[in-house]
Amino acid sequence: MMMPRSSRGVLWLCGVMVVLSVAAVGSTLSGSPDRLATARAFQELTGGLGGGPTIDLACPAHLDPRLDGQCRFDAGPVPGGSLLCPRCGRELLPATADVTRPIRRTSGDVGVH
Amino acid sequence: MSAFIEIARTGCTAIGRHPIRSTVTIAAVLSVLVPYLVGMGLAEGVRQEALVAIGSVDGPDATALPDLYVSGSRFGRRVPIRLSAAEQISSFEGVVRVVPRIVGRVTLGAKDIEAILVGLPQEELAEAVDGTKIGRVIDGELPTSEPGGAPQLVLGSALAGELGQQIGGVIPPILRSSRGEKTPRIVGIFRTDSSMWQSRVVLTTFETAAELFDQQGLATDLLVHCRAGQPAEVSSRIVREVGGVGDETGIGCEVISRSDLESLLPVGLGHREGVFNLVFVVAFAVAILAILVISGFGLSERRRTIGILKATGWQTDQVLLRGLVEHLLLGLIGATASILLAFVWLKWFNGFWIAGVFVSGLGTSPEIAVPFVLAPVPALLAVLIACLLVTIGSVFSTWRAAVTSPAEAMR
Repeated sequence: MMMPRSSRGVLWLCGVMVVLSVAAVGSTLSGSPDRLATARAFQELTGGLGGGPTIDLACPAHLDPRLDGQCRFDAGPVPGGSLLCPRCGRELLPATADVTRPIRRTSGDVGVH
Repeated sequence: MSAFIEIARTGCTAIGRHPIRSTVTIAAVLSVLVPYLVGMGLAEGVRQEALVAIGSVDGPDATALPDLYVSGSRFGRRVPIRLSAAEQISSFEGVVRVVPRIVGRVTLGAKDIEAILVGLPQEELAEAVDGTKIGRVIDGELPTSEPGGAPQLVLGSALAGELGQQIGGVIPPILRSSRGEKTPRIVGIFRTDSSMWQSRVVLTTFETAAELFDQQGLATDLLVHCRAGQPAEVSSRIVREVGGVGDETGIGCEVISRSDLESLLPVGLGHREGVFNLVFVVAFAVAILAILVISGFGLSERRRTIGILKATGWQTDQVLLRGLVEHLLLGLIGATASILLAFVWLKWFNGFWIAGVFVSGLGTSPEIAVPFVLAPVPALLAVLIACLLVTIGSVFSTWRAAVTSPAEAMR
C-alpha cells in the first residue's frame, strides 16, 4: 500500500476514506426502499412466502414457518439431534450434503421429468 | 495547544515514514473486520426482507398480506385442508375473503432439480399486483388456466438458469397426472432482484397446481384476510368451530397469525447471526494478540526513533501522544478500508461464498442478487473496534520503549 509521506497527505487519505465509507453505507440504506418495494410486490403475489434463512424446500419449517411447524430432520431426544438439519441455520459453513436433491421417492412425488 | 498539534502531526507523518509497518497493521485490521462487516450486512439485508415476507412492516409501506394462515392439523403437524373449510370461514363475521393456496415440492428436468410450486387462484394473482408492479417482479406475464390448454408456469430466476429455460419455452417432455399428459409452458421468469425466495419458486394457478399434484379439493393453507382489529376473534372462532375439515377421521385446524410469525421468524436468522458474532468475538480476541505481535514488526526501528526523540527532549507523554495519533489514524484507515471492501464484496461480488453461510441453498457464487444493508451501527462499531485493536496492540510496546533510557533505546 502506498503511504503518503506528509502529515497533510495522511489526513487527506483519512478524509477521503471516511467520505467514501459514509457514501457506501448511505447508498446501501437509500437503495433498500426500492428493493423492499419489489420484495413487497413478490410477497403480495404469492400470499407471503419465505422469511427463513433458506431458499429451497429441503426443510419447509425453515423456508417459511407457515408451511411446517417443525423441522423434519430434527432427531428430537437424540443428543445433538436438532443439529442434523442442514437448513436450520445451525451450521456455520455451507452444508456439505446436497439436500436440494430429493432424499427419497414416494408415491406422492410429482414432477416434470 | 499548538504543541499538541505539532506532536499529532509528527504522529501522522510516522504513518508514511514506516510504510511496511503501517501496511501490515492495516492488513491485520482488514482480515478481521471485512468478513465481520460482510456478515452483518447480509444478516441485516435478510432480516429486512424477512419482515416484508411476514408483513410486519406497518404504515404506508405495509405489505398487503393475509392476516391468518389456516391449515389442517393432525398429531400436532400441519396437513392440507379441504377447500370446503374456506366457505365456512368466509361466512364468519370480520372475514373479508379466504384464498386457497397450494405450496408443494416438485422436481423438474432430467436432473431432478427441486422447486417450490406455488398455486393461487387465477383471479387472485391478477388482483395481487397491478400492471405497473408486475414488471418489477416478473419478466413476462402471469400464469392463467385455460380449459384443455397447456399449464402455464412462472419460474424462479435460479431455476430458469439451471433448467436453461426462457420465456416461451416448454419443459420437456411432459407433465404427468391422472388427467393425462401435458407440456407446461414458461410464461414468465421472476426477476433476480425481486426477492431472494423467488429463486426456486414455480408460480402457477391453483387449478394447475391441484392438477399437477393430483390432489383435488385440497389446499396447503387458506389465506384469510380480516377486517382491521378482528384477526384475533376470527382466529379463535376458526379453531373453535372449524373441525373435521380433513377426511372422515377428522382433522383439526391450525391457525397462524402475523404475531405468531413475528415470534417464529427471528429464531433461524438470529441463531445464525449469533453464531457469526460469537466467532468474531473470538477472532477479535485473537486479533488483539496478533496485532500486539505485528506491532513488534519494525520494533527495533521504533525503539531507535523513540530513543532519538527522548534524547532530543521529548517527554514520555509526548511520545505516547505521538504513538496514539499514529495508531488511531491507522485504525481509522483500516476500518474505512474494511467498510469499502465489504461494500465491494457485497455489491459487485454479490456476497461470493459468504452469502451461503447466511442463506442455505445459495451456491458459492449466488445466482440471485443477495440482499444486504451496511447499517450505520456495525460500521461505527467497526471503526471503534479497529481503533481499539490497533491502539491496544501497540501502546504497550511504545510505552516500554518510551520509559527506557534514550541510550539503551537507540542501541
